[in-house]
Amino acid sequence: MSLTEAEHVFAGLHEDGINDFLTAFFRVRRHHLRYGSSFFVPATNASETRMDAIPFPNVPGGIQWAVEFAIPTVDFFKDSSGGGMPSQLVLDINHLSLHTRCVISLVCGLVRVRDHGDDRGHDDKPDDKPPDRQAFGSAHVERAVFDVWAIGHPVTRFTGGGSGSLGFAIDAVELVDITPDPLESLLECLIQTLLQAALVDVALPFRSLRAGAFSLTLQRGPEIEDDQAKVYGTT
Amino acid sequence: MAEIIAAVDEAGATDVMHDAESQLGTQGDSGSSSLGPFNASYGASVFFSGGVIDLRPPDVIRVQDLHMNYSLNFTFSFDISDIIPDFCLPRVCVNVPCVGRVCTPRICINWPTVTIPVSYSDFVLFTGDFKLDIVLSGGFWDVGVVVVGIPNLQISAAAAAILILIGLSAAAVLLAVPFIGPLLALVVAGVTAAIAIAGVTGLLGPILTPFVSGLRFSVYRQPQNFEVVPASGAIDPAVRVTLDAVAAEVAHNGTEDELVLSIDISP
Repeated sequence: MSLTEAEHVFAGLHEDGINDFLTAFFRVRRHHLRYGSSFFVPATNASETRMDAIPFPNVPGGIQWAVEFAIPTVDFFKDSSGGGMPSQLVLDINHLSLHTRCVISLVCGLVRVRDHGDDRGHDDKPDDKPPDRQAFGSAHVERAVFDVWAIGHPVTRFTGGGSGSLGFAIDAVELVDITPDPLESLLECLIQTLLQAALVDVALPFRSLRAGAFSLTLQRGPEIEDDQAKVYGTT
Repeated sequence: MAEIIAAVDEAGATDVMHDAESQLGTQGDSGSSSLGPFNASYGASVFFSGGVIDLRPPDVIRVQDLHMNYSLNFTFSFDISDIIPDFCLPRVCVNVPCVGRVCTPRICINWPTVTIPVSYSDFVLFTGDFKLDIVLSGGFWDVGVVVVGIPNLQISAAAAAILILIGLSAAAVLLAVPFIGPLLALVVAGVTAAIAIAGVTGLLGPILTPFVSGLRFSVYRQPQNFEVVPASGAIDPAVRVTLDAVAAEVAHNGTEDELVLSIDISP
């Protein structure tokens, strides 16, 4: 069968290519993979995104947290993981798998204990000041690292005239070796939400999929098969 | 497998070729040459359009019926004396009674050199075989198709038309020359006979052939440091990858012949 099939132009991006694109993307825009409250991320920059702490009564400055994903590795159908992908996930045609590592960090031990001698609590208002790293005291950081596998599918965003961009949507996440099951489900829910949100801003223009070769007004695709994302169109 | 594969079939390649023709734009040249026994200076401009791609694996891209559109502005000058000999009215003397001998001066007609401007626009169709040419130069990958050999340009019809045009232009110029009216047809016939179709063909060939000799159309040109995603703010700089290798071939896939580019990248 011809590459162009019933159309006149074809572009195929191999999974090695998409991974090079993702590496290039996240190297200079790491902030899409690193989020944290002020304790972990003092200010937003290209490397990390500052978020609000999670407000909670009697936790000074709120709950300090951070989430960081490693640069994900994408595997287009067919499965090329060599058996690495958890058996709970199935990679079908027009789907992709995604493998990454997720690190969730929390500052623990920052609970205010009411004390008549505490001169900061006269008005009973929560202290909005974030914890100072030097005044960290007995509090400490807990980190958990998760090996994350996900199944997703391509998402196209059209900008008119057959142009647009390619992104990804996450359909399911699998964490390995988490017990009990409710905890695993809870974490999978959390990480799927975070990962999907992190990937929303990853959009590769159709033009990049073919490295600028020829012109292509999209008629078909992207279709995922043979370890490639394929698009078909006319010039 | 290459990280990026892009392919076009013959219809798509024809569109790509037309884009490449537009990008090549108008080429120009000027100079002087002989036009029969006369000298001609010329300015020529050429652009290419049309043509249909016939992909021929493994490496030939045949362009059929490519239009080479040209405009010629040339002027040639000739001495009318080359056509009509100069002549002199001899001195004549007569004896006039009571006056004496009276003589007329010797009058010589020295025909001037005239300059004839001619403008002509036309196109010539030709078919040429091209081969792929890939270069990395100045930080850009460039995949082009380069003509193989020198296509034969059928310019005889144009030569005949130009010869007629020269005759008409010469007549217009010669009308301004005194005394030549009765001889005009003779002079024009002399000029066109002296040039002849072979003369015009001999002029057109050297002018137009260089435009197709080594003719190259660029079908892919991108910076090696390729921008994947443009910058969109202070913390979202442009995303770039390096195009490490670019290859091109004419391949027979299934029932179709396709022009295929294979590109490897690195972050």
